[in-house]
Amino acid sequence: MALIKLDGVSKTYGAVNALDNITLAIDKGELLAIMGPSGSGKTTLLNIIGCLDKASRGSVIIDGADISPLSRAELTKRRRETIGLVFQQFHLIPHLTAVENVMLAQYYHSLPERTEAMEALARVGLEQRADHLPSELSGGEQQRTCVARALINRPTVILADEPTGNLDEENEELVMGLFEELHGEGHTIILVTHDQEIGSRAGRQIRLAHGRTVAAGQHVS
Amino acid sequence: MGKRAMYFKLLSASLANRRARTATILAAIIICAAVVSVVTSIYRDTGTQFGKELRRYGANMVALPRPPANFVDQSLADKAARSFGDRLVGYSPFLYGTVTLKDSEVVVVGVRLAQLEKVSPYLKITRIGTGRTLVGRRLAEKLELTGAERLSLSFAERKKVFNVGGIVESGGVEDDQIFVDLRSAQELLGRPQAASLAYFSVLSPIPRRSALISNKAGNDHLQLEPIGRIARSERQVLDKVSALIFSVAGMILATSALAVATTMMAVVIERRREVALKKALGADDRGIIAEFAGEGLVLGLVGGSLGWLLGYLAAQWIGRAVFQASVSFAATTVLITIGTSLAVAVIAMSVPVRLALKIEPALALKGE
Ligand SMILES: Nc1ncnc2c1ncn2[C@@H]1O[C@H](COP(=O)(O)OP(=O)(O)OP(=O)(O)O)[C@@H](O)[C@H]1O
Ligand SMILES: [Mg+2]
Repeated sequence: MALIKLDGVSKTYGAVNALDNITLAIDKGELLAIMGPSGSGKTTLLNIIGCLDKASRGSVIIDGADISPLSRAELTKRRRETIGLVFQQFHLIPHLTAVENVMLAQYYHSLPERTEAMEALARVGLEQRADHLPSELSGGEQQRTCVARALINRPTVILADEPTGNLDEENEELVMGLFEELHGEGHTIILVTHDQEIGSRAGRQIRLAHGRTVAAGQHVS
Repeated sequence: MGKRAMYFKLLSASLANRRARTATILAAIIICAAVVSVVTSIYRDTGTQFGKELRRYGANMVALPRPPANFVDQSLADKAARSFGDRLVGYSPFLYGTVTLKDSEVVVVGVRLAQLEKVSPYLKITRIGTGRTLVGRRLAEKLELTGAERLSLSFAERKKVFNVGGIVESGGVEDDQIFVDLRSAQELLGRPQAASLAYFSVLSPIPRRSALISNKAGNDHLQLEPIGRIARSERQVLDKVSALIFSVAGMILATSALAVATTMMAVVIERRREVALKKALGADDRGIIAEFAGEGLVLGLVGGSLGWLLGYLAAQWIGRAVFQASVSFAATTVLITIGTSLAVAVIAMSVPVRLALKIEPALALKGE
């Protein structure tokens, strides 16, 4: 039984078909890469799975529950309980330290707990940098803080949109290594990337073009 | 760290994150609070001061005998005077009678001599001796008074001697009258505890309470009423001044609210990605409202307090410069000022907050 199941999902913005009849099943523990050219609908797909946006048509089932009929307020509640998000631009609050940024996710979820937040930072190898502001961290350290923030509420699935897009090669390697480790521990991760090399490290790839899936699992050069 | 500690951490982070904007909002609230503080202080204290200035024109209330009575009972007039409390600036019963002086008839007026200048400030009194009795200027000329003299006044079988101490001049009927101590006049005229009328000088606006006295005492043959022309014009002046003050204050208030609102709009637009991130992390509408409302409350409280202090100092200066009186500290002014600042801040926040609620969480994933 798939953890996430999309059935005939479409998303239109006015005349633009950002997603066109997507059907997709993702199993628990998978590391899935979503690939495709710019404008193909990768982020739109992630937004819908991440309860950040609503599909125009079709059903989205996460962990046995259909989220398509939910209101925005219900989606917010579902999102904070099931989704961990990692962004290309990190999105850390500049006046909060690394550990406080992690605690922010706890704050909106339930209760901020420093010890737990410190454990999450230790998990990404940043316990020494916990009390530094984002401006005092390298890009790779900032993105690892984001991964810790995404992990903190034990989400059903971690969604990452171009997580290495703003990183140099060394940090890209660190962050990808981290995702592979989490995958090894049984986390379900969906990764959006342009990069063929990164995509190939995922257990499975799907490719989008003009809002449709093309030749799942196959490499198109 | 508890939930509340994190909340305050977020508040201070938000405020610190945009110092220039925070300073702008704070300045707008401080100005608005200072204006409210000055206006309420001046209105409360110097409104009274202003009334005192107007009291230079003398009595503005009169108690008359209610027909068929011919005289005012002095104890009732005293009671009416006491009912004005500390708004009473001057008060005296007046008892008029015609007496004989050296074979001719003159009008004698029994008054509280110490209060005479307060209820009739237009009387010009020139001291010529130590006696208490005052003689009208024309009468004094007729009598060829040269200095302090003793005048013997008689009424019916009674006779009393008065020591002249001054000349009184008004250009009116008073120039032919003799002003004596009320008690002596009552004895001479055989009218103990009686007065023809009583004048009161009361700070504007005349308290409504007086209407009650008027009715209640009216039953006891006392008719208490404002001296029409004077009281009316005083009220008009005060009303015009306060209308002016309040409309200017209102405009400044509206301008401050607008400044706060537009600055906050800019803040929301600048930080829409941060708001989107918070929503993406699970913040619901309540959480977003709580953060902005918290900022509004903090800014309103800090700006209101500083503005009150500024306004209080300004009011001191204005009070001294314009009315030669210091403005007293009043807790109500503090409450009104801070309350108004909070209201302005929170109301001004409501539009930007609505804007923030509309931000899509999906914005967090959008590229630059
Ligand atoms: N809010 C929106 N309003 C209108 N059109 C939108 C909106 N969001 C996305 N689109 C359109 O939908 C299509 C898919 O966009 P999406 O952001 O999913 O692409 P993407 O694959 O993530 O691209 P990129 O690699 O550049 O991030 C594009 O044509 C885009 O212009
Ligand atoms: Mg994208």
